[in-house]
This record gives sequence, C-alpha cells and structure tokens, in this order.
Amino acid sequence: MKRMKAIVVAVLALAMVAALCACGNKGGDTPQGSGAADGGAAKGMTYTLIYGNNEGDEVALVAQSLKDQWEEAFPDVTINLQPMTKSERLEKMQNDNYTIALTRWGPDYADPMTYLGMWVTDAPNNYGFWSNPEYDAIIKSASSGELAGDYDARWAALYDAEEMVMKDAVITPLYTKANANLIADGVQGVEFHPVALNRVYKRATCPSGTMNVMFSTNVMSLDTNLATDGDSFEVIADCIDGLTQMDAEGAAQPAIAESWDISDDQMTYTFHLRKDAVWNNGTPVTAKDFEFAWKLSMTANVEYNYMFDNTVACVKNADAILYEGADPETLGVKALDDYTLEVQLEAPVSFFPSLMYFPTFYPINQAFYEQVGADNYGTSPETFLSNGAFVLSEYTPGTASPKVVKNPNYYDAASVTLNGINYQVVDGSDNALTAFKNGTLDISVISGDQVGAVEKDATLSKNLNVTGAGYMWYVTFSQTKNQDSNGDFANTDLRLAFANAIDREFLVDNYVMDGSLPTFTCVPPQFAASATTGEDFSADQSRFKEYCDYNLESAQAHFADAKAALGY
Amino acid sequence: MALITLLIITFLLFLLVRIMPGNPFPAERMSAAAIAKKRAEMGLDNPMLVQFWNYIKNLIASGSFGNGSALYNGAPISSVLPVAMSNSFRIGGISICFGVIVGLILGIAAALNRGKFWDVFCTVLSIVGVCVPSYVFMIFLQYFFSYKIPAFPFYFDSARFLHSAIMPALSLSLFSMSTVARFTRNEMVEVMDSDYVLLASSKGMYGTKLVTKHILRNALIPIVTVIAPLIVDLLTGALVVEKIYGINGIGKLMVDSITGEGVDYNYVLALGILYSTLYIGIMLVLDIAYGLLDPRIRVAGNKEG
Amino acid sequence: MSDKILTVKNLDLTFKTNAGPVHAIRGVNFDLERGETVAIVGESGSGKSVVMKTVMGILAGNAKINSGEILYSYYDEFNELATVDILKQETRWIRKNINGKHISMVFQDPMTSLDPTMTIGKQLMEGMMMHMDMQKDAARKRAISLLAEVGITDPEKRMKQYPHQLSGGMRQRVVIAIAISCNPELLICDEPTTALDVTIQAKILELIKKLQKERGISVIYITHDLGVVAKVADYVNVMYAGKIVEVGNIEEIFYEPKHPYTWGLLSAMPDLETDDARLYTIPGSPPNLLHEVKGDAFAPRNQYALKVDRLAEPPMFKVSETHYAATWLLDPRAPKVEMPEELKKRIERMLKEANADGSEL
Repeated sequence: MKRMKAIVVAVLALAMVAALCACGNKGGDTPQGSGAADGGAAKGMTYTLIYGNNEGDEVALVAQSLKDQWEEAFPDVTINLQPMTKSERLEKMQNDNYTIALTRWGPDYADPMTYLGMWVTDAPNNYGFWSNPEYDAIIKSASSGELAGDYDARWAALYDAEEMVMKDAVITPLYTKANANLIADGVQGVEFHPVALNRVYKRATCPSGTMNVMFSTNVMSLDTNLATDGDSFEVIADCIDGLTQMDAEGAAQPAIAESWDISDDQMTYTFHLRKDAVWNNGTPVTAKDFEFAWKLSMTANVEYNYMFDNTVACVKNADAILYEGADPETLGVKALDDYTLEVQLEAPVSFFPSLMYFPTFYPINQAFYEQVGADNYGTSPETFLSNGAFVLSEYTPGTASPKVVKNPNYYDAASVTLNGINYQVVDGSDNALTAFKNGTLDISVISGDQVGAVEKDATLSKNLNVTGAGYMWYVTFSQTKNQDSNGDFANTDLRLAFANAIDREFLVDNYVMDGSLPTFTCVPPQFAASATTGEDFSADQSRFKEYCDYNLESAQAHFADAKAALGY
Repeated sequence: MALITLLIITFLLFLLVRIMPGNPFPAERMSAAAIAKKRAEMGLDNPMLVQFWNYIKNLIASGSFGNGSALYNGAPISSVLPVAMSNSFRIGGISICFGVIVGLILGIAAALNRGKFWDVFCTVLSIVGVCVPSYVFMIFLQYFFSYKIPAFPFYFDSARFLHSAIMPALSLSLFSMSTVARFTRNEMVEVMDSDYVLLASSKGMYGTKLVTKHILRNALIPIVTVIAPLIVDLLTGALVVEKIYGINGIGKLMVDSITGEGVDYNYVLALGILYSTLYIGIMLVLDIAYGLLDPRIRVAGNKEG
Repeated sequence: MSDKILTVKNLDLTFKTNAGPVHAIRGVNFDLERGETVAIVGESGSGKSVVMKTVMGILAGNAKINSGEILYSYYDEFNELATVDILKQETRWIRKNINGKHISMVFQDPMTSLDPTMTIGKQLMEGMMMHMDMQKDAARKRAISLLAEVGITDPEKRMKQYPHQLSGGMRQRVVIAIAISCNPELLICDEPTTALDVTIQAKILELIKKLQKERGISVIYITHDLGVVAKVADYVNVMYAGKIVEVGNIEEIFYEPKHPYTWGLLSAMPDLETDDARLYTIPGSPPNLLHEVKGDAFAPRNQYALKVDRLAEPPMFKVSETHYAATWLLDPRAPKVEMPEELKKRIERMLKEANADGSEL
C-alpha cells in the first residue's frame, strides 16, 4: 500500500509539473491584469501584457522593454507581464480573454491579403474583436468579389483598408523579423524567402557537395495534408514539386505544370502538366495526383486547408465543403486527362500561380497513399514519394537529422548541383555557432545577441548574411471587456497613445539585434510585390507613420483624451 | 495491484492534461467553427469518463496510443515511440552501467581508505558530480571533444550510434556515479564498523575476502534502493542533453509534447503510461533483487525460535 | 603450575579522536596461565574491551600503541613452544595465524554479531576452511557436530538458516561454536551474557565452562557483572580508567578486597537482604581520559582518598602471592582504613552461606 501511494504521488508530481509547464506562470509571480473576475473598477490603469515563453529569448526582452517604455511615457499606467505557452496565449487571444498581447504573424503567400484578411469581423485572427463593416466589404470584394478581377484597383483599395486598421490602431506593428544567417564559404545559390518556402536549394552549390543545414525545430510531418510548420514545408518542397515552383525572386515558374491557360473571367485555370515528371517509385506524376491530394485536404481538418477557401485561393465549393459539410467530390478541381488539370475558382485570384508552389497544393499519388495507409504516409523514406529535386533518404518522426539526396530521376536533374542536404535540428544558438565554426553546419542561424560578436570576428564576419524571415511582430489590443480586461482599450485614443509611445528602433537595436526591421505598416515590407509594377506593397514605411511613429507629444495628447473619456 | 495503479495514474494524467488551457492541435489559422469541428472529431466534447473509456478501449483492443495531433501530426505514436525509446534506453543503459560500476569502485576505494587522500578525492568528485548539471558537462565535452579535438560527432548520428552515444552517456552518468559512490562509501563505512565485521575479523577474515563476502553483500542492499530511481531517471531520457545533442529520445518527446503548438494529449498520456510502467516495473525488479540480497526480507516460511 | 599463555606488559595506548587524543589504556599488566579463567571487571569505559581487542588485533584504525608488549605462547606445527609479541606483528599475520586459530572471541550482542546475509552453516565453515584447509564437505560435517556440541537441536536444519531465524540464546551458541571451531587455546568472552535473559545466561556460562574443561581452553571474561564473575572466574582483575587497580584470586577479591574501588563495586551489587531502601552507588563518574590524569584516577570519587592520591599514582602493593592492589592505603605509612560496615556485614553473610552450602565460591 505504501509503495502504491509513493508511485501515485510521484506520477502526480510529474503530471503537476507538466501542467505547470503548460500553464506558464498562471497565478504565479505576476498578478492578473486589471479587472480580474468582475472586470469592474480597476485600481488605476493596470494592464496585463501576455507573450510567449517559448518563442525566442528576445521576446521576453521586447515585452520588458514595452513595459518600460509605456510606464515611462504614462506614469499612471502599470503593465503586468505574463508569459505563457503559445497554445495558451492563442486560446486567450482567439477567445478575446486578454488585454494586450505581443504576437507575430507569418505570411503564407505573397500578397497583402495574408495580413489584411486577419481583421475582418469574426476572423479567427482578429484578436481584438474589432469590427468595421466598411473594412469587411473591401476585403471581401478584394478576395472574391468585384475588386478581385481588377488588379490595380484592388491594390489601391488594400491601402484604404490598411489605413483603417492603422488609424484605429487595431494592432500596432513592431518589427519584421530577420534571420542572422551564417553561411559557409563556397556555399552559393541558396534562395532565402520570407514567405511560404523559407529556403530553396534547387540551384544551390556547396564545396563538399552535401549541404549541412540547421533547423531550429523538429520536422513535424511530411504529409502535405497535415504539415503546419515551416521546416516541414521546406523538406517537402525539396522532395516534391507542385504545379509551379518558386524562383529566386519569389515569383512563380512552371514546375510540374509546363504551362497554363487562364480563362477570360480569370476563374478557370487549365494546367498542362509535363509528361516526364515521375515519382521515385517509377509511377508518372499525373493530374489525378493533384485532384486526389486536394480533395483529401478537404477532410483533413488541419490549419492549412483554409488556403482553399474564399479568403485565399477561392477554389470553387471549398467554402461549402470546409464550412458547410458539402461533399468533397464537388471541389472545383478535375483531372481532365492524365496531364491536364482544370481548376475552377469562385473569384479571380491574381496570385493564384504563386499559391500553387505552397505545399498544401502539392500532389499525392493515390495508389501509394492507400497502399501505405493514411497513418503511415510520410513517416519514413519508404512511406513517402518524391518527385522533386531531392529524394527523402532519412527520416523518422522525432529525428533530429532528416536527410535528402539528389533525385536522379528529377525532370530537371541536370540543373541540380547538390548531392544532398543533411538537416540538423539544433536547440540553442550557442551550439549553432560552435557547430558552424566546426564545419558541422554550412548554414546556421544565430541569435541577436551573438550578432555583435560575429560582426567583430575577422574570420566569421564575412559569413554573416541577414535575410528577412517574413513574420511580423506586433501588439494587439483587446477591444472588449472580458475576463482579463476592463475594456479600457475599446477607446481608440488609448490604443493610439500606446502605439505612439513605442520606440521601435530602440527596441530592435537593443533587444532584437539581428537585423530585424522596425515596421510602421500593418503589412510588413519586403514580401508582397505588385504583380504589375513589382513594387513592394509596404515600401513606403512613412505612409501611416502618424499613427504609430515614436512621438511622445502625440502619445501624451491621445492619452490625456483617453483618460478623460474613461473617467480616470 | 500494479495494473490498478497504472489505471489510476493514467486517468489522473488524462484529466490534468485536458484541464490545461489551449487546444491539442495547431489552431492559429483555424476559425472558431473549424476548431469546434476538430474538437468534436477528436471527441473532446464528450464527458471525461466517456473519453477515458474510449481511450482505454482503443489502447487495449489495438495496442494503439493514438496519433499525434500537435506533435508529428497524424503519425501513430506507437511507431514513433520505439525509435525514441531505443535511443534513450541504450544511452541510458550505457550511462547507468558506467555510472554504477565506476561509482561502486570509487565508493569502495574511498571506504577502504577512510580519511586518506583517496577518500577525500572521491568525496570531492561526488560533490562535483551531484552539483554540476549533466548538460553543463555535455556542453563541456562537446566543446573539447567535438570541436577542439574532433574525436566525436558534434551531433548525434544514428548511423554511428556507439560513437555518438559516448559523450551523452558520459555526461549523464556523472550524477549516478557520484550518488552511487557516496552511498557506497557511507554504507560500507557503516558496515565496516558493525559487530559482525568485527566477528569476521576475529575469525581471521581480512582483505578481499572480508570485503567481498561480508562487507559488500550487506552494504549493497541499500545501494540497490538508490539505483532504481536512477535507472528510471536515465531511461526516461535527460531532456536538456537530448536537446543539445539532437538525440531523438523520450525525454525530448515529453518536452516537445507539452511545449509545442498545442499540448498533445496522446503523447503526454502515452509517455505518462510509459514512465509509470517503467517505474513500477523497476520497483518490482527491485523488490525481487532485495529478496535475493537480504534474506531477512524474503517471505519465507521457516521462522523457528 | 602450568605455563603462561598470555602476558600483557605495560600496555599503553591512545585513541586519536576529533576531540583530541584519549589516553585510554595507561599501563596495563596482566597475565594468564594455561587452563585458567580470568575475569576483567570494570565500569563501562574502563578500557576492558580495548585491551582485549588489542590482543586480538581488531582495534579501530585510530588507535596508537604507545608502548607495551603482548606475548602469546603457543605450540606451533612442530609442537614446539613459540612466543610471539602480537603488537609487533602485521595485521595480516595476526588474522592468518592468531585470530580464530589460537585466540577466539565471543562478542556481547548476538543480535548483531552474525552476518545477517549469510547462512549459519557458511559462517561456521568459513573459518575452518581458511585456517584448517578443510574441504567443504568435511567442514560441513564438522560444523554440524559443533552445533550439536554447543547444544543446538536439529543442527542440519540450522545450517541452512539465517541468523534472524534464531533466538538470541541460540545465536550466542552459534557464535561460541564459531569461536571454538578451529580449536583455539584462548577464548576471550566480551560480556557474552549481558544481552541475554537471565535464564539463558546461566546456560551459556555453563556451556563455556563445559567446553573449557573438555578442550582445555583458557578463558578471559570481560564483564561488569560480579555475579558472572563469581560463577566462572579463577582470578579477577579490576580495571579502572585504563589501569588495573586490583588483582587476585576470586576469594581474595570477594572476601578480602583492598582497593576502595573494589569495595564500591561489591557494595553496589543489589542484595535482597539489606534493609536499606536505596541502592549504593559510587558517587561521581569515571574520568574523561581526554585529559591526562594526575595522581590516582579514582581519587575524586574515593571517600578514603589521601592527600597523596592527588599527587602521585599508587604502585601495586603486594597483599599476598596472588593478591595485589594499587592503593596508597596499603602503604605502611598510610592510616589504617577498614572497608565500609555494610560491606563487611555482607561479606560475612556470604561466607556464612558459602560454608553452610558447602559449595565453593
């Protein structure tokens, strides 16, 4: 009996620790924000800022700096910091149970809509529960309505929408993340992108023939229906080509699809597939593979199948299937014959071809999939088919070192120079720096606080290469009264005050330090280029500066107004 | 009895994990409706007992722990676990063997040379080994023996298992070595001062014979108690060392399952069951070992006055 | 008179402790003749066990021998008489040649003297196999017969049992069996009955006596129990604070004690006959041997102490051929001091009883 008690206690303790880990510091050292249970009268202006405790060391530093800056600008205000795990934070934000949150968003495709679409009423990532029918109308029209067809009009309208968000300080942007990469001598041709596929190696070379690349998290899944993280997408894209592929500038180029016809109303795409693309078990890649994969995606109920719906790809009936339970067979994709794929859309999507290089739209061979079984697909080289530049050579879920080797049967094998890529999941960038110096890694990512030292190092400084990571860190305010907030931030002046009190340059220079860019637009720079002019949507960072520039006078003015309106 | 314990533990874990905030799958881009739909699909809206019943049914009927929902999405846990277990167990096994053997030797040497240099040296070593965390030692080893002197692989390489396993096994063994050394020394000293050792000496026993026949056998009994939790500790994987060195082990799985983009219920439960089974199993083995070593504990019949 | 088997001359030793050096044995002289039974009596802490452990060579590591000799005589393999100074020998030699083979020891607490994880049989056979080069089977047979000799029933069964399965009395018998297993000449018994019930006590003492007679063993008893002394001893050494203060044969010590300490010991024996409701105790407590003793160590507690007792240690004064006492009271210049009244009366009573019974003391 005694022994059993001891065991139960021991495992309870283990579970308790597990629970505590996940709950973060809930009820720990930092007290709850203002309002607590009743959400009523607060003691002065006390607000809670939530942020992630496992998303990078600099996040905590940024949160602390925000607190310092706000408290200095507004002596009446007290900010309580509350770190927690990402999933907990996400739940709080999605259910609007917070006051202020520090969070980030990564672009899934190269169009401003990937950001602007967030702030539609009731959208899943509209964390402040802001609602503006005019805004909704513009977005809807631009995604699947009238504006969708007129490219330039749409582009202009998006600026109008953006202004609404900035003027209301629905969110206030902080900086666009960059990666401080160390690239070994002799490595050339690796293409870095801030959107969709982080790194492309098809046209890369390296002295030893096999490149050693660092990942910072494990590869979660190689099943395109189930993968949700960047590292998985990178490996999938190494091994599988979709209808199109990404070139060095991030534009779409033919891949499995040699060419495509677009109907006049821009709502039907007919892809003509090349006939020499094969899977590495010998079967040819056919249009049926795409149709199968896309329809399979409808039932997977995983994050990324949202890309088929009317906010992004607008594939015909996708909305009905995903959200109203229609039959997946009715999806607007059809293999007319082995090498012709017809896709029907609900509205014109100007960036549709570049959407096609995103892994969610890649093909899967039905026969193979059914043979290995849904559960096992993508869990080892034997249960995965490659048709791309590389073939998966080593992988099991949980492995820290997935490997791919050159695919001799790739239709464009001649232009692939690498013999293979060895990935290594590295935890902790101190390790990564040493591994780079050691020659164990050819491409390594170091943390902001190491950049200074590397810049001064004679041998290493030439290897430093800062590239945009694409995602933008920003602060979001809850605009409702809820469990954790007394609703003060429903007041626009208060939000603007807080937005104007942040010195983003100071933040980046002192705490992030890895080349990240202070940002003053809610669509970050350097990832969304106009299809017609090639111009970066957010090239002009001064456009909305009055709403978020570091301007203490303006901040104080807004704050005074807010204070009066809120009755403090 | 052990089975009931296991059941209770599993149920408690089951509850605890569902109480934690957040969804057990990546949900950043999912609308509230999609989230609700997925939760319904995963059966998360059923009452706790029903969920638990389904889980147990599934487990017993098909030996399946389910699939990962946040960690290695979709991959059956029972195909992911064996690799991780094999790695952790092998490295842990090497580590404990090394740690225990060296610890015993150190402890015996210290006890036999009580008060002299060797004793002091072993004590200092023990303190260092208990205080220095294994991962600090790991980083140290990695720096000197992979970087400065390229003797071992910088990261874990499953193709060269033994070669890769040495550094992590060594750094993990430090704690158990020190604990065993300390314990052995103290136990032996206590035994050496006992009456029956005095009697054995007065019989004419000395030296190795005395140590092996009388002292060790008695001193080892408490040491076995110490070794059991050490074994479980090492088999369940040292998280930080695994993370630093890139080992696909169960310690890393446990941490990843909790701190990922969602607490993965199935993994936490599967690992919890694994840990508990290991612990209970080792305790059982310990009980048997005890009985073998110490005749006083055997549930024997003949007790005559 | 037979030869001396053991002679301890001027044994002086100090223990190195954390608190400082403890001068535990301050000059002990004593000898033992073959076939005799000698008792060493004294309070806890007087040093009796230490002396015997020194003889056996099983002292703790922090003991330092300052001076002295321990001469042991025995008949070696050529049947010649050999004498060896145990203090000058290596521990290894002592273990191999003396311990168990010539001198054996029986310890006080049978509960802890036997190895709990070894069977009785193995523990018995161990010594025999080592000292007498016996094979396992021969050793086992002999072990069984030894168990029978010490009065244990069902010896074959006991061989396979563990110490915790036997009672205290039986365990002590086993310890005795182990002690005599290699036919030693000298048996040292360190308070062999203190931890046992009174009824068993008598039996164990009888057993030792019987073995002694049958095998011709000399025995040294260490005890604080004068009742035991009365039963078994031929000669008595009284020890106090690391020295022997009185030595004599049993009648001399019991009926004609000369040292005030011995008076105190005898008076302290509980007696049903006295009217006195209180028990007599020797006032005070033994000295702390961390500090060097000046003069007679017993002086602080001695109501008969003379001035000279604080200045100089008394030498051994001869009372008879066999009777010596180290007290200034025996000095011809000292005042005549008689033993206390109650003690005198008690001794008279004892004499009367002894004569009436016709039994020897």
